Amino acid sequence: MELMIQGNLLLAAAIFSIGAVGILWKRNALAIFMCIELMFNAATLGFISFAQALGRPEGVAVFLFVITVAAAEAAVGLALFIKLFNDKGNIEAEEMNLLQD
Amino acid sequence: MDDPQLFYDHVIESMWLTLPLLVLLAAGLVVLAADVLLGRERSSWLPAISGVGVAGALAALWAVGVGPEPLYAYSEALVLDRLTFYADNIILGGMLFLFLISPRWLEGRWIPRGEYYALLLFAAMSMMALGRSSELLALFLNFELLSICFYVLIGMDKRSERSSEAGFKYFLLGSLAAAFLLFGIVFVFGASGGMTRFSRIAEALAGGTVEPRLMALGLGLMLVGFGFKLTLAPFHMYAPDVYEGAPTPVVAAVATGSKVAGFTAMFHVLQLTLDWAAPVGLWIALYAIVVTSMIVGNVGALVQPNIKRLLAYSSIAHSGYTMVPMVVVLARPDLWLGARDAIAFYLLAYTVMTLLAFGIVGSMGTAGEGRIGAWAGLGRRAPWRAAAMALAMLSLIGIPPTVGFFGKVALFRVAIDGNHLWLAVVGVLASAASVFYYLRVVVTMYMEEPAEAVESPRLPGMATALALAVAATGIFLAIWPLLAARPY
Amino acid sequence: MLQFLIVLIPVLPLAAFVINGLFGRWLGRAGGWLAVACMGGSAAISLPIFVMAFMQGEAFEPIAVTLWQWMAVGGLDIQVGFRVDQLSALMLLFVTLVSFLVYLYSMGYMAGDPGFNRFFAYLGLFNFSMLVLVLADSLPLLFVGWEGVGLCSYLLIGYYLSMPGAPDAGKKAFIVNRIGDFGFLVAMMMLFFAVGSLNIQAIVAAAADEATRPALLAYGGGFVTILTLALFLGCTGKSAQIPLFTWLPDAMAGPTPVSALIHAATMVTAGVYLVVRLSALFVLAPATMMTIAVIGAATAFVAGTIALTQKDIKKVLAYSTVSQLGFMFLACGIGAFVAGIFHVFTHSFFKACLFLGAGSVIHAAHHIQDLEKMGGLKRAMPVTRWTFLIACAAIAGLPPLAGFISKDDILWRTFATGSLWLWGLAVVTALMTAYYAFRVYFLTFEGKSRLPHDVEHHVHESPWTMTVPLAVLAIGAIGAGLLNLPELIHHGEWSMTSLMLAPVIAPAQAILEAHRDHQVHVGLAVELAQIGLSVVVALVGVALAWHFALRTWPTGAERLAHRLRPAWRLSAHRWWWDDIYMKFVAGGVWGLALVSSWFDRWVIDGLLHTVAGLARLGGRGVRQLQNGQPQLYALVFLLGVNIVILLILWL
Repeated sequence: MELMIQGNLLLAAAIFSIGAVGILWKRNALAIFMCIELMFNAATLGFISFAQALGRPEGVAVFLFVITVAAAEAAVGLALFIKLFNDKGNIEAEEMNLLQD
Repeated sequence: MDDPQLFYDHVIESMWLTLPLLVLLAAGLVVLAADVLLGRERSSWLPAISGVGVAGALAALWAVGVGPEPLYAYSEALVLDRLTFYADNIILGGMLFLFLISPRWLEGRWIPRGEYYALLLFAAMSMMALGRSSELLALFLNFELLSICFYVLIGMDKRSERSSEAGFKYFLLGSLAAAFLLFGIVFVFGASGGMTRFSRIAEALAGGTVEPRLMALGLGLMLVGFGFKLTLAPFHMYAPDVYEGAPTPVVAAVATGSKVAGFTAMFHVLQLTLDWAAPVGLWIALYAIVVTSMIVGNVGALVQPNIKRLLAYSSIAHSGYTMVPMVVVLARPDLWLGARDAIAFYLLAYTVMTLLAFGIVGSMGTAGEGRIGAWAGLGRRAPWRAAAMALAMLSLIGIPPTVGFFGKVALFRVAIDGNHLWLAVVGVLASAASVFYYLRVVVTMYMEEPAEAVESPRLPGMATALALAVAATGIFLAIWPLLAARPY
Repeated sequence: MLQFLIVLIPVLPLAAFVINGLFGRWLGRAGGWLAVACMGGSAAISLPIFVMAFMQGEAFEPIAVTLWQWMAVGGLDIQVGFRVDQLSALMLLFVTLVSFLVYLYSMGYMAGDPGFNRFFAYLGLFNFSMLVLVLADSLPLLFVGWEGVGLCSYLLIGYYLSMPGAPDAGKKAFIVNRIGDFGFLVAMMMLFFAVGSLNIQAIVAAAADEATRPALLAYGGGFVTILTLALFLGCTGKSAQIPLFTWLPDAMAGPTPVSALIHAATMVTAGVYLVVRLSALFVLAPATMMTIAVIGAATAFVAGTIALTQKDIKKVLAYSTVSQLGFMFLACGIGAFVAGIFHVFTHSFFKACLFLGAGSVIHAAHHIQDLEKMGGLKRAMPVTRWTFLIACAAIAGLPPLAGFISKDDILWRTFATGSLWLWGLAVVTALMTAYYAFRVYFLTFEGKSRLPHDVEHHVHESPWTMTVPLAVLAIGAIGAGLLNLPELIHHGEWSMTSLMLAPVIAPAQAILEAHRDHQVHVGLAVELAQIGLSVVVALVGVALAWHFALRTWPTGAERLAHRLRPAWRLSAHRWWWDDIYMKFVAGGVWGLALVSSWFDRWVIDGLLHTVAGLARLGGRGVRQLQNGQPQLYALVFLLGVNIVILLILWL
């Protein structure tokens, strides 16, 4: 049991970190956004593991909420990307430097 | 809660306690419907509906009232206590101001009216909800709800590439922050043995059955999430860009209401730890964040030629000041009531000053929203607006007897009472440095001649009148600070 | 009822401010008349209060009004409250009266000015602040008034934005006064530390009470010395004393009624008022008292010499004001507080009269201010001429006018304390006063006209709104002295200002008596001789002025100037005071620069530059980092997160 939660948490942390690094690494806004989704899902995995280990099944419900929120974010994010694409002709993160000091 | 009758009663009571939120929600839906039904010609009705909605929410807030004991709604997902009551008043008052200045600001801009007003109403509701969160999942959902409203609002200006870019930056960093907040929540959930309600977590912490390091890690990651919303360094990087690119009334909302909500929520989170000896690492992390914010905010503003960016840095610095009592509470839980009052009063002072500044910035036309140089000679061209702006600047510095002064005295007094003299000293030194850049705005307005022909600022009569109203509030608070400082 | 009326005194000018500020655009001249009416109302309330205080003298019960609690922060409990005692009553009288007359005068002087209502709005705000300053019962509230008058002064100096030098003069006044304010703030903090309250009554009581005095006298008296010196620094800023006096002559760039009201009669006397108000505190520090006396006498002398040669009529009057303020501080410094405040009182009448008379002349002569281009105006402007002459006689100290009585009191008391060299300086200054006052009079009104021809034909007497105030002020310049005749006339039998003010300065007087080693007693004959001497000095001054400014003008003066070239240059160049400032003070290196410029340049300056440079560099660094790349922001964010995590896991 103890082993399992640790393993799950490690997995969650690893996925989370991969997402974080991906945000820095990827150039395309869509790919960056996918990395963020990855981080959300990693966190959800952590939540579910804890819920499982601690015997609190309602923790699993979090999963549904997070998925919903992520979907809402995706909707808004994609709309933003489309607008950016219309403005700039691409959605490369590097090109987003109109606003700077 | 197995008895259906009890459940039913609880839902009714919850709805009563959250009546102001429901009013805002309804107003937002009405605005959306009205936008479709009324058509473009009658879009001037929308701000009126929104204003009525906010006024109704204020009325509901006072009708519900608040007592000495916190009241819980929706199975303890939301709480109504004196801090949230005070914060809700600030949020709604500020929103009312924004609805009043928005129509003139929106003129000639490609921003869909219906969505703009509806989203601002939803944002107001999310702010109140975020401040009232008393359960981990509710906290996350409200946090995201507010962020999503602002992702859209910030990137809403159809003809402005800058607006889209600001939206993207807010979106990227906001999602990142949300991910960390969620991960922090996971650790808090795990460390407290599967608790999500704040009251239970506090019990678990007081009981001493908590793995301290895991808990501290969870709280630290949540702090990171809040750090984004409150523009605390080093999670502040997006702020200058977003403040520059986004529509001015929206920025005003991001800088005031959103922060009021964030601080309220964060105070509730911190309140969990009152009976718990937090590991040193958490303290030091907090110290570092507070001091960095004060320094980065003030230093960054020193050589800043753009007024909205300057206000962004200023906002970073002020978040740093407001954090001071929070940090002190961690060390001295017995001071938490005084800290709460100080933070509440400072949030009020900060909101009044900042809204005033943004209100004036918004009335300055495209050129005036950019370089400070465009403000030269404003003292002569528009004496009232210049005076109001000067008042805002002096107040942000904290010159006696402005409201900013009383606010800072309250904040730093908590630090001194809690044996954190050095934090107060850093704060005072940082605000001393701020004299330089705030006064530069005043000097530009009064003592410099316009170098070239500047676009004559529009004179939105209503916006000016309202800016003066906020200025009057500021003056009033300066004359009679105790009226607001003792709300409880 | 009485309390309500007292609140009304400052509120009426505030109403004038609000009316003219908000609705001036639509009111036009009516707004000005409303302001006059408001100020008249204030004066109408103040006059009976003063009469009451004057007649009852010591028996007058101070009237206190507490409005609301202002702040309660860590033991600091401040009430917003007003208090009218004998001193405030005296101040109220002349502040409201002179203000009312100046308002009336401005109706004529400012007629047709594009910023007419703005002007009255500023004036209203000024009077509100000034009256708050006078009525305040606590130092923070007094400071609000103190700052308020400074703000209005600054706004009004820069009133003619298009006039070259006006905005700069405003800036100068602003900066110099900030230096003074710093002193005020430091003193307030020290007082709170020692007394635990900032209420003026509490402070005076703490200074007067043997039990609480040691807290103030800590560090062998050093505490109270530094405290009072800091306060006095505030006073030197506001009341234009050495070393902070240069702003006042420059402030003449403002409209002339403003010069009369703010920069002669009321605001600049706030420093004297503060010293008298806190006299109990000041007398605890003999070193400060000595400093005040010396600075007062030195200022009186230096400004007096400068006034001798100035060509601009308003500049002469400005330096004369500085000089007279020096007299007042001299009086305070030697412990003759009543003499000091009474000189404030009489001075407000004759100096306001002089300024308004000068304004009348400038108005008639189409803004010519150069004395060498005037002359012979007495026929065209009889009222202005006579009132100006009376005021000149008063400031010169000709008996029995107001200026004679108050100035002679100061001279006599200086003599009686035994500091003969201060007295000598004062007597020489009195001589110069008589000279420069009559020099202005002769050059302006007597002799042949030197005005350009086109102007000369248009010279006319000013409208009644301007002449009536002149006449009233002239009456004041004649009669104000009656309120404080020397004791050798009234023998303590009539109500006199000195008797009225006795309770206010009683604590200070008691401390002074207790510490005086030996009682200096000077006989009646000496007193009479000294009075005789003042008269002679005044007459000699007038005669010299007649000789140089009228009879042998301009050759006599030129010859004298040539013969006394170094002295003349010193005066005409204002002791190079401004140049010294420009070089050493305004240049960024402070007073020490003369002595240790090397130290300053390499250490202090270097340090300042380093700090400023570091901050600037930091600012650049922050901006460099802000390069617009979202992923860089995310990187900084993640670095922050890593630090937080590391701190939590490894500490």
